[in-house]
Amino acid sequence: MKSLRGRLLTGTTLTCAAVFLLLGLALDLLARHELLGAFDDTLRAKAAAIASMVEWHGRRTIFDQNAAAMWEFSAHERPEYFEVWVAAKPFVRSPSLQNSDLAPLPPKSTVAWTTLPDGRRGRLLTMTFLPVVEERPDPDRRNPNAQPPDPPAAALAVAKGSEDLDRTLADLRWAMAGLSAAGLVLLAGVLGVVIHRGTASVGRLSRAIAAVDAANPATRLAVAGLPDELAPVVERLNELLQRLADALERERAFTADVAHELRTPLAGIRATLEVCRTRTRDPAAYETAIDRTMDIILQMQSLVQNMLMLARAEGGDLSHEAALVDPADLLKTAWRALEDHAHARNIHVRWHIDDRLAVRADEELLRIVLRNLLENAVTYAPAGAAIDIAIQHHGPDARLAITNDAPALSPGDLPHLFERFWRKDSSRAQPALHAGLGLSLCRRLIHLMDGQISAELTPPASSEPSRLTLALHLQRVTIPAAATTP
Amino acid sequence: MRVLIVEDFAPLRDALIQGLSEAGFAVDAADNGESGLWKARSNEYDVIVLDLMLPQIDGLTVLKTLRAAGCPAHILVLTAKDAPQDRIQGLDTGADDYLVKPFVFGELVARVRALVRRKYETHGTTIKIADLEIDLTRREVRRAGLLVELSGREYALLEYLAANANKVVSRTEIWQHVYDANAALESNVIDVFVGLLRKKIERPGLVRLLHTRRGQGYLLADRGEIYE
Repeated sequence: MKSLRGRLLTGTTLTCAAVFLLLGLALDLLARHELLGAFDDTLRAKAAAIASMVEWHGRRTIFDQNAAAMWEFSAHERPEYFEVWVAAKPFVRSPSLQNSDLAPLPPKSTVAWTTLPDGRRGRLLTMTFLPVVEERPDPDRRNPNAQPPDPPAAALAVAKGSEDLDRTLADLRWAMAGLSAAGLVLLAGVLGVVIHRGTASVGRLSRAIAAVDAANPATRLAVAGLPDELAPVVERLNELLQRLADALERERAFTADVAHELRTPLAGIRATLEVCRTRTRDPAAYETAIDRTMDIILQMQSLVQNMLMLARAEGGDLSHEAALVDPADLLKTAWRALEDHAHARNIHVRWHIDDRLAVRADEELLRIVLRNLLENAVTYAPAGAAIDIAIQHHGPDARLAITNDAPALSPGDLPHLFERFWRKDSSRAQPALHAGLGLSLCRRLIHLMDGQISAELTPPASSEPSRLTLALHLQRVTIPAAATTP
Repeated sequence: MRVLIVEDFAPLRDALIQGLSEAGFAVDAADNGESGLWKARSNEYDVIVLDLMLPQIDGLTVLKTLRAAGCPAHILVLTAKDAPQDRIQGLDTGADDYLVKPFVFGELVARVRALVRRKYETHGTTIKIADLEIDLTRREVRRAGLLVELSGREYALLEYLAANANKVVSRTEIWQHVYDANAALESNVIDVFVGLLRKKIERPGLVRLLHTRRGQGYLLADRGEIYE
């Protein structure tokens, strides 16, 4: 990439040079035309003066030389020349011509470039004229009525060296060239400074961008003082920095949450094993320690799996394939895995399955979603509560709903349920709630399968606590008749 | 010395109960803030190990409530929150110590022991009364330079009496600080244990250390009397 400054400077200077050249040429032509005109006028005046000296005295022509006016025709250096013809014969020549002709007898009046007899360059003016009638001849006595003869036709050539004109023109050219060059140098200098000043903000901006800390992109680039052309660029850059900072902040919060979530189970494993090792124990005590450690490890494994699954779902590299799935089947399988846990908390389930229906979903992903929803219900429902599991038609969809008592939830909590590691503010004297990753993952996976997940809260009735329903809407598929028969 | 553990993560709570019991403490436990608060107010604990993220009432509220009620127990906050502002908040709310999960179990025990020493102002790790020496860290007792073999209960009793040396300690106080809530206590069990302890630490010809104050309790002190 070329330098913007260099390109601006070169472009502007070259354009100015071309403009100066054209202007110079025009000026030169004009000056030449004017000067030549003036030169020729002088020559014409001189010719008129010479012509006025040719007098017709009745029968003969006289050249009435005014010597004072004629000195330049006899000068030794750079003389001027003239020749007069009368009746087509050379009549008089300037002393500078000696005895040669200045030009052939001119047929008409012209002015043109020529080479003077002494080899110099000059202008030659030719003209025809009638000599001045100075006196009428006496009438012819023999023929008094006869008209006196007219003066004979005369011609004249005047030439003058053009070195003064040439020198003036040359001087003018040199002056113009010199002025143009000086102007160009000055212009380039001024332009350079102006462009440098104008583009200095680019340099400042580049340094400011280089100074942005990747680990902490909270810095904002200053827009004030920037040229109008750069301001939008910087504004977009600032928006990009903001998005980066937000993403980084989310990542940091997530990492902190994960670290926090893993610390307590790790502390459990560590304490269990360290206490176990403080003395020699009987085999049963070791077995208990192993079982306890194993339980904690399974919990951590589930957390890590959810975390990875969520990361893959968010990164978009979770493969899924829509197929016909029987949700009742999946729900019952998922429930069987949780039965022991539910039994320990004296939680029972009530099934509400209208009729058999199938949904279009990825079986593996739906299995994960249902397992998480049921685990949540079993973990957070108060001991002894009932969980309602319903599968119903709902327009073109199937609605899978899992409902459990949730005395601690308030309507304001619902939007937070799907946030990662959300915890209900436990400073209010209510059971602390802890969302973990399960519902966040469920929402991701259901959206991947083009379904919807929603949370609804039934307000507490007289003796009933409020109940939380987590409902899935998935595309329903009519089961072919053959499939409905067992 | 008696310790209360308030921790909602069951496996960790179980490990703490076992480990601290085996380290010679009388241990009670609670799995939520509410029952933790109730237990802390109805018993005289020497040390309370308190988690911060607790169901029902969170740890900081428990801490605040206990401090407002003038609870004399030393409180160690045990939590996964490791940010400096969390530690500052914990200590400023009234915690005596702060330990972040996961932790080395030995360190937790050492810190609990240190809190006990601070509570009874026994700054050294050994207590000496006449020729009786108690190494609080190694839980070893020597009388006139000879090692005395004590059971866990006997040691706990002696440790409490020694921590309150030269003071009369009532049976109720012994009850509160030496036994956990699960100990089935017969009315004379303390007298029986004091009798057993006396047999092990007193020797004829040496100074009498364990005195009985009728109607008041017991006293561990050097009164210049010779045991016969």
